[in-house]
Amino acid sequence: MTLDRTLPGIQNLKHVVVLMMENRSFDHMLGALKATNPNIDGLSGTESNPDTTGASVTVQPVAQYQSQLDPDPNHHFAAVNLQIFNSTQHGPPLPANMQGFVASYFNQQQNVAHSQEILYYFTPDKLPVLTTLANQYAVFNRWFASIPGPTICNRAFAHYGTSFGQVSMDVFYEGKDIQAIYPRVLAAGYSCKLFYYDEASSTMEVVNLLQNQPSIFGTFKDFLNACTQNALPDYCFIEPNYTDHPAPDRSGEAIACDQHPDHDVRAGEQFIAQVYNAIRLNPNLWPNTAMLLVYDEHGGIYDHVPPPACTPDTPYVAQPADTGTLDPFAFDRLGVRVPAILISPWVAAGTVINDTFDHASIPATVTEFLRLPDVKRSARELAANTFLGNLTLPAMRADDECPSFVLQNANS
Amino acid sequence: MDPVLVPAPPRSAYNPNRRVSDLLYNQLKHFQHVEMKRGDLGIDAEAARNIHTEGGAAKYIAAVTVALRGKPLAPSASRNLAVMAAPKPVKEPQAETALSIAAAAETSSASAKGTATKAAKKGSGAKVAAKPFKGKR
Repeated sequence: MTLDRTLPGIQNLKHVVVLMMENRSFDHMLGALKATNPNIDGLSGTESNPDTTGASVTVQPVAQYQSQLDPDPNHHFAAVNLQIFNSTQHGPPLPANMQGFVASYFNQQQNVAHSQEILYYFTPDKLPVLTTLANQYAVFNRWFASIPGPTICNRAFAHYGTSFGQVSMDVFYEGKDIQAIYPRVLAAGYSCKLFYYDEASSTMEVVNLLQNQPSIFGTFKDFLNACTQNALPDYCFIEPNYTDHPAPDRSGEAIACDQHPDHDVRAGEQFIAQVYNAIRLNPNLWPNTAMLLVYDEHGGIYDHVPPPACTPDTPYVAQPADTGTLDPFAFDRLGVRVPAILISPWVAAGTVINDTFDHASIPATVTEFLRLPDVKRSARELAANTFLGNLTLPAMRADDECPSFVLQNANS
Repeated sequence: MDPVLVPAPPRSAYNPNRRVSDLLYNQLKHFQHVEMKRGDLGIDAEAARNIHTEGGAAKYIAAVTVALRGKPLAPSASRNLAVMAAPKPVKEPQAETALSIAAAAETSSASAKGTATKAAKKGSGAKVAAKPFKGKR
C-alpha cells in the first residue's frame, strides 16, 4: 500500500517513535480484550495445549506481574519450532497448530504444573497502560516477530530489515552490504536517534552501531529532554532498561522495565506511560508524532494465531546446525505474534488493523515516510507492509478524547 | 477523559542480584567482542570478571558503553578480529530425546554449531545463563 500523503495526519507528521519491549506474546498481554472488542483476535478462553501427561490445559486469566515465568521460557529457534509445530525436528509442511507451548516449557523444569503457566494471560485491569492504548488507538491483530527465534536476530530486523541469515543471538553483522536504517536516514539529511535507557543498560544493537556510530545513541533522559525542548529527531528508536542496577548517576535504583521475564511487568507499564506522556502532553509534539509500541518476540509464551508464510529473505538460508532442527530455514515464515499498537491523535479509537506486519515493517515505514533514496535493502524489508497509512482521521482528535497517564509511586 | 493511574512495582521487585538471563549473557558476549576488538578501553578488570548478576553485568556494560561513546572507532580500523571463545555449556541431565533439541537450543547458539543430530544428543544445556560470565582478560 503506497502511503497516501493527502491524509491530514501524514501532512502533519514530523516524527516517528518506535518503542520495542521484550518477550511477551499478543494473547498473554492483549488476548483478554476480545471479550470487549470482538474485532480483536484474542482469546475466547477455550484455547488449549496438551501437557506432558496428555491432559488438555486451557488458557487462564491469571498471569502475574512477576515470578510465574521463571525460568525464562525457551524461545530459541528449535524451542519455538516445538511451540508452533509440536515438533522439535520439523516445521512445514507440518501444520502450525500452536500446540507445543506447554511441552516446551516442561522441558526446562520437568514440572507439569509449572509448565501450564505458559498459557496464563493478563486481565485488562492489570495492564492499564497497554490495554488503554490498545483500546484508544490502533491495535495490530497480525504483527508477528520477524523470526521464530530469540531477541537479537529479531531486533536486527527492526534496525536492518534483515538478520543477515542469523536465527540466534550471535549476530555479528559487520561489513555487510545492507545498512541499518539510521545511517540511511542521516545520509538523506534527516535526524535520528537510538535511545537506550542508560549506559548500564545500553543497547542490544552493540556490535555494529555502538562501536562505529556512537553519535546516533542517546539515553532515555536525552529522549525526555528532546521532547521537552521540542528537539525530537525525525526518527527515534527507544530501548527499555534491561537490568536492575544502581543508576549510573547515583540517583537511585534503576529497575528493569523491559518486561522480559522475570522482570516486573508494572515497571514496563510505567515506562511505556512515560514515553507516551512525553509526547502526548507536549502540544508541539502530539499533533505531529506517530508512536509504535511493539514487542521483539513472544518469549516462549502462548499465542493462538499460527504465524504465516512470508517473502523469503533471499539469499539467506540458516542451516540445520544453526536452527537446531533437521530443517534449514529460508526466513520464509514469521515468528509468533506480539503486541503492537500505533498511537497518534490521527488514529480513531478502537481501530483494529488486520494486515500482516513484522519488524521489517519498521525500516520499510521510515524509508517510505522520509522518501529515503533507493539503496540496497533486504528482500524482507522490500516486501514488508508499512503502517503510517492508518493515520486516517480527517481531523485530529480533541485533547480530552486522548488518554494520559499518572504514575504512582512504589508503596512497599 | 480522566488520567489513567499506573501502579508501580513494589520495591521488592528490584533485585540487582538476579542472575543474568540468556539475553544478558549474549549482550555481555557482544560487549566483550567489542572490547577485544578495540583493544584497551581502560575497563576495570574486576568489572569484567566473573559476572553473575544483573548488577554486575550493568557495571561492565556501563564501562564499555561510556568508553565507546567517548572513543569512536577510526574509519580505518577494519582489521581482522579475534573471535571470542564460546562458553562451555553446563552439562545437565539428559532430557527425553524427542524434546531435547529444544532444550539444547536454549544454550547459546555457539553450542548448537554441530549437526542437529548432535544437538539432539546433547540434552539440556538450559542453564548457560546461570553460570558466571567470565570476562577474557
